[in-house]
Amino acid sequence: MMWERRFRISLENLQVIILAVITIAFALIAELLAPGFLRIGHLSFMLEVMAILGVVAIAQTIVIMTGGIDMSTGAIMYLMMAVAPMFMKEEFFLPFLLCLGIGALIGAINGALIAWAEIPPIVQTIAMMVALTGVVFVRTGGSPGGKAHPLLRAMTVDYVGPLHMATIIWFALTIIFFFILRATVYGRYIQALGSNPRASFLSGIRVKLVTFSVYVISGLLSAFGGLLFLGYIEIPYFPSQVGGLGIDYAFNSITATLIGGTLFKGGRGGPERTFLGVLLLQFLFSLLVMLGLPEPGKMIVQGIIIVAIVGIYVRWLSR
Amino acid sequence: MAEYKIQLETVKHLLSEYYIYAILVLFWIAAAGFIPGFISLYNIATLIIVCAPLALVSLGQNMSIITGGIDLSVGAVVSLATAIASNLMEINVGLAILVVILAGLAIGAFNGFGVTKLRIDPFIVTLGSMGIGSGIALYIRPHPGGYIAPEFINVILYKHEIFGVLFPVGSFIILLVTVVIGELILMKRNFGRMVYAVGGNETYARMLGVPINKVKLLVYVISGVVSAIAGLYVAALMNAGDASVGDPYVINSIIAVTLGGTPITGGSGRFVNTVGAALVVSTIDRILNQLGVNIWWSWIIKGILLALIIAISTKVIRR
Repeated sequence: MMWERRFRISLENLQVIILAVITIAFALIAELLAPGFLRIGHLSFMLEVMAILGVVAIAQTIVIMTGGIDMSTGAIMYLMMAVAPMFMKEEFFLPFLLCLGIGALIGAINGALIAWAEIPPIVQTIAMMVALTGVVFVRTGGSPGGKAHPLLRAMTVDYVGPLHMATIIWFALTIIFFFILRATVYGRYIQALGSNPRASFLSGIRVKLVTFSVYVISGLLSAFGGLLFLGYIEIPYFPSQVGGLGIDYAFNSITATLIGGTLFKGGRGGPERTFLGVLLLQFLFSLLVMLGLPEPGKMIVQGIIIVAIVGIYVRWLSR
Repeated sequence: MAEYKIQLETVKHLLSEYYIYAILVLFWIAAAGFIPGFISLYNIATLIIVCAPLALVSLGQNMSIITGGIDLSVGAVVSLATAIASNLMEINVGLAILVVILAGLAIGAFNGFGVTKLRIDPFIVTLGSMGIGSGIALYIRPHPGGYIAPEFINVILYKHEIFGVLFPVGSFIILLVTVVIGELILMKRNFGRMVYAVGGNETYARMLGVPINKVKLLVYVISGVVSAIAGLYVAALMNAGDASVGDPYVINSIIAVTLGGTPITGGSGRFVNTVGAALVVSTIDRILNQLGVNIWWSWIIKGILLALIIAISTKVIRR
């Protein structure tokens, strides 16, 4: 029994190691295809862009680990574009907390309706995304106006050594959530809930409360990701998407999570895997840009590679 | 007394089955109260014109959701269809229609192949083909425009004067045929029962000898083809091709299906109710349009309505 358990864990570690090797190999191939890919400057730039998706993907990972999904992450991010410049005039700290609070509140609405009203996660979060799209465009008319607060900008783009602040924050959050999931009771609850909700309920876990909390965290981290995004681009903008605000970010965070090997079935995976997933996904995006592929070509290659990577990988993992 | 009771039961049953039509009637009555002369042939005609393509796309979406999957590529297929049509109609209308249908078939087959043979999650496969489809659409139609044959538009959007209003006979026929064929396939044919069986319990369905892979493959192919037909209609409606015109259809079709009472986990649901939900959503747009309110309000209302109705139907009606 003991041996089997140890073997399982080492197998999971092996998968993470293999993913890491694939990511590094991809980066090396990218360097060959587009010289300068691994230059420190370019690398730290890529890591800065990644941090935004990375923070949101941590949230997505935790939600998916419980067997749910959060389609509203992107919409919450863009909501910050409308909200943050409005609040952050002179003062920084309190409005910053207020913005995070708004994200957490939206997550709480999602969580409450999913846990207690028993709305399927995908339906509820799509409903939330649709509603937020409406709120944002009714409020701003499509042009948010304002500018990122200097401190928010500093929090994102300032250098710490060769890395940007946003990257450091992303690293820190990944480590924090890695430990929360691995070393705390709460983390155990999340894993248990994902692998078997019924057994979790029977063993006394307050399933609804855990489900609720996961969406609150997701809302909070999405808002945080949105603020980093605002700090990064400085002048807020909304994409002219008619398919739902921020739906591309929702899709990308889900893709990164799945590439990392967190399964839709729930129970398995973790932020450390998603970290690698984000790395691999963004390497791919950056390489396509560096190769000078026009937008249509990029979309096609992205589509094919996502199916290929996730297809092969998930099949291999879920064995 | 007994008779009265039976009637009440029937009413209750009808209401729990077709509640979406009760909501539709409610909306129209409420709108008539707000806006004098809202219930007019003109408004009904506009509703039919808008709803026909959504009903077509929703048929495919509904079938894939009943099998427990999802089709995120429907929007890309619509865009791709308009792009192809706007390029090929100059040469030959028949050829354009043929190529459009084949393109829908190809993307549907790709999805079906990925879901059945490669066993990739439908979410990821269709997300990938969404990228591929939109990419190709953007490649062949970088900017909205192109040529749609006037005779084609005249047939598809054939209008005839009834009671002094130009009634969209063509759109009405398309909507009606979609509803009838969708209902016939799903409720009266063996194939339809198999679709429900696959979504209800795949293991049992397999034990009963349902060819699960064939059914799933066919469902995604049908979804691709009907979305392509919807794309032809949209091309006629806009008199142009546009690589992003299909984007809203993804979320809107999912909203229509779930609002119409098909559970996102699959296994049950009626297509007539999906069409009813599509009519409700379009009615909201119509009302806001006539009230002269910011059109983005409709997104807020859609989001809230979706969460509300799903919560009520999971908690109350389906008890």
